Order: sequence, then C-alpha cells, then structure tokens
Amino acid sequence: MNRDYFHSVRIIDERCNGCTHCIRACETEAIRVRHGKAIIHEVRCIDCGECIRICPRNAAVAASDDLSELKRFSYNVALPSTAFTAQCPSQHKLNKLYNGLLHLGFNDVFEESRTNSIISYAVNKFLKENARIKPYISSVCPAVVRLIQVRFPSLVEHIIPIETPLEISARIIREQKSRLLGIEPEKLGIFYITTCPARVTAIKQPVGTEISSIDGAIAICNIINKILVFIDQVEEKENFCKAPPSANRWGAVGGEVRALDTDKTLSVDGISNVVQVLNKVENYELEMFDFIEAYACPCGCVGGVLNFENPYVAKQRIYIQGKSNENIIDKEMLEIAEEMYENKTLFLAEEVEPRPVLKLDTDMRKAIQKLEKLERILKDLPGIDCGACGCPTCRALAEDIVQGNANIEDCIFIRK
Amino acid sequence: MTNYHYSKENYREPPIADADEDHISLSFPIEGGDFTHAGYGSSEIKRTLKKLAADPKIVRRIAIAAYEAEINVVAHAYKGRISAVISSDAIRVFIEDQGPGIPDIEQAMQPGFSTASPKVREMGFGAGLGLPNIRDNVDFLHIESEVSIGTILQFCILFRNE
Repeated sequence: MNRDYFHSVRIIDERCNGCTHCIRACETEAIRVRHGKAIIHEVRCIDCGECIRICPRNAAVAASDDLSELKRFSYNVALPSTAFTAQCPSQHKLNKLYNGLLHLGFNDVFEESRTNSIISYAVNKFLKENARIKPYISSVCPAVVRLIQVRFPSLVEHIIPIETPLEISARIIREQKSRLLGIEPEKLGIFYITTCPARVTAIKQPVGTEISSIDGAIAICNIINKILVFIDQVEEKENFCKAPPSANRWGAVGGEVRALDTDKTLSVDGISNVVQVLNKVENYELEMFDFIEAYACPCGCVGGVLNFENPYVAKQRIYIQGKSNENIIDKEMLEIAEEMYENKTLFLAEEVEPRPVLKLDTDMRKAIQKLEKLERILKDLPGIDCGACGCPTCRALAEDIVQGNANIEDCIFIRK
Repeated sequence: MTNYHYSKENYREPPIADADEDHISLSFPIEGGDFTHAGYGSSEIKRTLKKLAADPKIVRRIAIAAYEAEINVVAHAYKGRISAVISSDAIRVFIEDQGPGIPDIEQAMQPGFSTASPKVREMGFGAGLGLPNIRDNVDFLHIESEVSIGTILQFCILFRNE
C-alpha cells in the first residue's frame, strides 16, 4: 500500500531556530534539525503532537481546516469532540458555545459523546464474544494506533477492530440528516471540532477504513476563540447538550473503561507511559487484562494540543459531572448500536497493518551489516545525546550515518 | 548435573555464525532479586530485532522466551548473564546463572510446577509457567543445571520457518 503521507503536524520554518527540544520529545524519532531547522520524517510521524507541546517558539503547529471550508456544502453539521464538553465551567455555558457554532455558519450540532455509548455497547459485546487476544487495546486514540503500527508492529492484532465514536457519529449524521432534510449526502458537510492533530490526520488519512465520513476538522481553540468574541449575544435557541454526563467521561482518561462490564481494564495516558505499557503487552506481561484504553496525550483527549482549557482543569470537570457511577444509556443510540453491530458497520472495514518503518533495511543480511556498522560508529561518539548534530541521540546519529543521511562530522565533539 | 533437551520437529541446526559472517552479539548482566530492572536485557534484544528485518511475530516469540528466562534468573539465582547472537538465519540466546540450580528439570517443565518463594509470588511472578513458556516459543532448547552451582539455558529461534 503506497499512499503519500498526509500530516497535520508541521514546522513553520520562519519560527524555528533549530533549538532541538522537539527531536527528543518525539517517541518515533521522526524529527531532525538540519541546517538550523527542524524537519519531520513523514513516514515516521504519528501526529501525536508532542513536538507542538514542547516547542518554545510555536514553530511546530497542527494544520486544521478553516471555517471557509463550510462554503463547499449546502448544510453543515458541527461535530464537537467529547473533550469539548469540558472546555467551559457549566452545561449552560456549553450550550451557549454550541449555539455560538450556529453563528459561525453551522446549521446543526451533534455531540460526538452521544456515540460513545454505541462504542461501549460494541466493545462490551465484542469482549464477551472474543477472548482470544488479551488485552485488546482501544482504537479510539489515532496516535496510539499509529504508534503501534510503527513501533509495536506485532501488536496490531491487539487493536480492537471497532470503529471510533468520531467515524460512527459522522455516519449517523449523514444518514439521518440526508433522510430528514432530503438533501444529497455529499452536499452535507460534517466538521469535527478537534482536540488534536492526530484526529485531523485520521480524517484525511484514516487507518482501518478507506475514506473517512468526516469532511474536515477545525481546532477547538480556534472555534472557542471566535465564539468568545460574541458570546454575550448568543441566544440559546436549541438545547444541543444531549449526551448523558456518563458519556462525556470519555473526554478524560479512565472514562472509556468505566462504561465496560469487565473490571479487568487498564487506563494509560501520556505517550511515554503508553510506550512502557505496550512494551509490557509485547512481553505478555499484561494478559490479566481484557482491555486497555491508551491515550497519547496526558489526561486523555482533554490533553490534546488543540484544546482551549487546561487539561487538568478540564479533567476535573469531567470527573465531577460524571461522578455518579450510573451509566446512562441514550436509548436512541442504543437502538442504532444494536443494528450497527449486527450488520457489522461498527467494525473496522480494513485490518490495521503493521508499518515497521524503524528497521534499518528490509533485507535481514543488509540490516545486520548496517547494525554492525552502526555499533562501530556509536563507539566513537560521545554518548551524551546533546542533540547538537540535530539527531535526538548519538545512536540516532549513528543510524543516520549508516543510512547515508548524516556525516560523522555532524558531531561537534568529533569535529573539534 | 542434569540435562534437558528439546527441539521442534524438522528443526535443523542452522550454521553457527563464524567470525567472518555478519552477526550481532549482545550481552547484559542480570542481578538476582532485582525485579525493578528485570527484563532490561530481553528488552534490548527486542529493540535490536526491531531494527533488523525480523518478522514481528517472531520478534514477539523471542521477546517472551528471553524475558521469561531472564525473570527466572532474577527470581531464583544470585547473578547471571543474558547473551544473544543474531545472524541472518536465527537468533541464539544464552542465559547462564550462578544459583541453586534445578534438581529435576523434567519436573520444572510441567506447567504450574514452581519452587518460587512466597516473596517472588507476591511480586506476581513464580506461577510455574516460565520454562514451559520458553519451550513453547522456541525451535530449540537446551538446559544444563547443577544443584548449588547454577544453570545454563540456551535456545534458538529460526527467522524462517520452512
């Protein structure tokens, strides 16, 4: 499968001063500084957004769509992510923000969190019917799915083959709206109000399905900043807060597993913590768990770099609002869930393929030769991982030299 | 001295990598009782294999066998060493330790048989699945042990199954 890689995460050259903070924050070692500018190795980048989080000059950014994209369609639905519900202090303010979306050109609002109960239903049923693999890993965080493809290729079969709330929401909206309004499905625009660049990429270039049902993604912070300008004038024409508080828990880590029947679950947030847990899964050390929810961002989706509110504040709000242990089920959604599970539309259409791009060569013999050379070079390097050469570690420089992408003189200690 | 030998049906000894042939050697010390750092060596072996062109499924079999063998040393012995030689056909792993040794290896091979101390069990190890788990994941396994002296365990996993 040869696709060009689309990435939401990119570097603005004019802002980058080559400081090397980002190269070490990257879990797939996808960034190098060359000629004083950071460059992202596209095949390796998983769009987790760690470079955006750490960049002191805001040079690493996430490209998302602009509101002008709405003009392409005759009717537009905003699909705010679950974490959106934690961006403001009360439900009342939240509904004001939702109504504010109508002023920005949207015709309707559908909360992604409504669909979370469909996915919980599917995961519960799937785990009962399938006990072959332990643990299954949530497919919700697209950065984690890509991390597995690249760094843990043997774990792709652990990814639960169930679609994400985002994708299912869009399919429901398209089906319902085109039926109710009598407009052609392709004239209907569905825009995700996103927490992170990984979701922007997941929409432009999905894993596990051919084409996404979503037409675009706009950052939460951009949307809220725009609405705040006129928030006082927003009338609450309609109540768009339809998801039960228990469904909103998915916005923060731990929320997804609370809706499951099994207690043998694990929740992990923050990409380096996810790497540690996946290492243990690979060693079969975590077979006592049925299901793992893993989020690349600290605190879960509320920690995504495109949010408006501080992740810890947002996480606390979600905890308070969803405090009751009761899982309230959205009846309308449950009916849809049963039907979609039966006709298989809740499942990923394609298998998640491993993408072991970190290997030195596709031929074992050549790879061994390269690794031998790499180890010899590594002995000459100082081993302090200073980053001055533009590589995250001395080992990464040695690898780049072996692959013909760098020279030993790039090391300032060798040069002097 | 007791011995145990296992090899898969159709297993044919791959040629030993000589000095001229390209191969990778790795070696890491193991400290008995140090559960905090247990698994470092097997983790490094796994990381190295991912850099090579090894099949992810085979990498996982190697990872589990090496990890279990390393944990055995941590749980039972005083100190030891895990070494690996990777050539284009196969990986050979050697784990040697100074420790109590295994009096009856056939018995230790029975799933569920364990001599692990309550302390080790409290850590979540010592379920008696280590050695059988190693055997189930390798193409070749040889164990030599002497009571009160120590144990040498070798295994081999082929990269291509023909």
